[in-house]
Amino acid sequence: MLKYSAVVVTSLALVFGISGCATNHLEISESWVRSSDASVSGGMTGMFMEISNPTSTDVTLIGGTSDSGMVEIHETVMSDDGMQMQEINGGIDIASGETVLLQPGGFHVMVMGLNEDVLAGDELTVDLEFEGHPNISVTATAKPSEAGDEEYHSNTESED
Amino acid sequence: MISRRGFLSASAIAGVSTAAGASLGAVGASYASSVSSQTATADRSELFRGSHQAGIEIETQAVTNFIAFDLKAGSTRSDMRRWMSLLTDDISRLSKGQPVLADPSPELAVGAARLTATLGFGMQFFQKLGLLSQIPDGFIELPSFKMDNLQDRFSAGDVLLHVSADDPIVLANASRALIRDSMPFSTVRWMQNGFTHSPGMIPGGVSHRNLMGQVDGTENPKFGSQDFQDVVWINSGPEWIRGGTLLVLRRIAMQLDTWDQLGTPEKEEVIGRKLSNGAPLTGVNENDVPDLSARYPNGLKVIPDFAHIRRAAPNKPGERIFRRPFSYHEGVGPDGRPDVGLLWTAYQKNIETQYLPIQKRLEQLDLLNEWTVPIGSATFAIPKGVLEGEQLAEGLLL
Repeated sequence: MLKYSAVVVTSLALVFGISGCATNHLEISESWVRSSDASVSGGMTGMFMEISNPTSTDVTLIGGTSDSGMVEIHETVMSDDGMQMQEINGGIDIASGETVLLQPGGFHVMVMGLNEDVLAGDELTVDLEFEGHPNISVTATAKPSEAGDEEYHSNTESED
Repeated sequence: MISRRGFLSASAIAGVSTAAGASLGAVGASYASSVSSQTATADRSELFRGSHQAGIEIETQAVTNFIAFDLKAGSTRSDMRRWMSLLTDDISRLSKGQPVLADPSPELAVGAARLTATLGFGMQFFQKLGLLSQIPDGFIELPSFKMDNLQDRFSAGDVLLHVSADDPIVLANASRALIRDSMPFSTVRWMQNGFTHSPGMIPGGVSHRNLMGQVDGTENPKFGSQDFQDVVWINSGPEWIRGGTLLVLRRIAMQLDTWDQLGTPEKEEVIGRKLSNGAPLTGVNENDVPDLSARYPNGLKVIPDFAHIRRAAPNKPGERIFRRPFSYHEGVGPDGRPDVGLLWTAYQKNIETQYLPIQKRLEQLDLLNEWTVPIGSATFAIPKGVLEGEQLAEGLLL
């Protein structure tokens, strides 16, 4: 997680050209991404984190970009067909002073059309886009998913 | 300590209270101090980061899981680096009593409780990953000994996670988290659980009373001493093992039904120590040096030729090990015989020159062998510790 923190600190320092000021930007912590074997997951995975807004303005997470795939902001909703994931209209509001949890079964950042497997222990970077706040680049460690481990092919990766 | 703190608090309150208030205050203060001492176990933590891995040069924790994994077929060093990065972050958090990242049950992070998780590699790890040149000096798989009755389900393994804590819930939760993050890379070969005393039962240290009644762990090198450095911590060879050590783990079953047929004097002669406090038969206190030449007026040796501590005593100066044993108790048979014994550990720089000569002497003659049977055996190389920003075994898995 050190590496992740370093990335966030660096990006914030670039955005604001300052360091050590903790109250005028979002704070993102505990970020992780579900490990995903593209052949099993349909080339999708979810990214999760805590986003705190200590600033004086309301902020909305509206989307993002990644070199690893297409990014959408999703929610999990109960429908007649059971739990379903769908894109959120208007994004996720993070009001001033609030902390929003992105977690399995709830809000999450969806990465689709993955161009390679996300193996446990890999890191995946997404540039999150906000309304009312500059972009933040988040690098998350891949943790094993509950489903699909049986089909996991760790030997497909080349030795380097 | 509890009663003394209660007394001090009560005195302080009495100074500012009426007589009637003082007695109520004493009750309240005593309650408060006993509540805070009840939860002291949760707050105690062991440092994960350092030049050595945690879980070795520290007082024994109350409960332990030794978990062995076998690598998935075709595993690469790159896979291992990803595994180690997950374990490093997990152990770092668990040591502080925090949930691991992506913990499905963060409410179980109820305290640090001195949690440690120590990583080791078996011989097959080096062979499967093409790391033969990295095998430390003196790291061997043990030969079979004539008293052995080894079972696969307690023996060998490619990777070891030795997880310990002062609380069984903390241990179970941490073990589950570490196993969960290991499943993309390996399968569990075995898990062996053990225990010593609950926190507060005995003064801190590594000796505990095993289930034969003996004080186990006497004559160890002292924590923080040059002696400990010399016996345990490797300071040469491949970079990744400098600051590490070598572990021998033996699961030793105890035949308590026949052991208990002996009287106390016979039990004491088998070991060469008093059951009451672990003192040698030639001494008064646990840490007195045994006088192996002492004889009774009739000429018989006080510590007999067959006594365990005579046979285990070093023949040469370097034949010493650090022991950190746990007990196990798996249940009881229909005949009432308990399945009990030791998860016995020896840490040393070199298994060939430190442990092996001792074990060979015990194989030749040690009356204790009548009541103890090794049923599991494994050796692991324990990498050095990790400093801030490093990950476990990173020097090995380049």
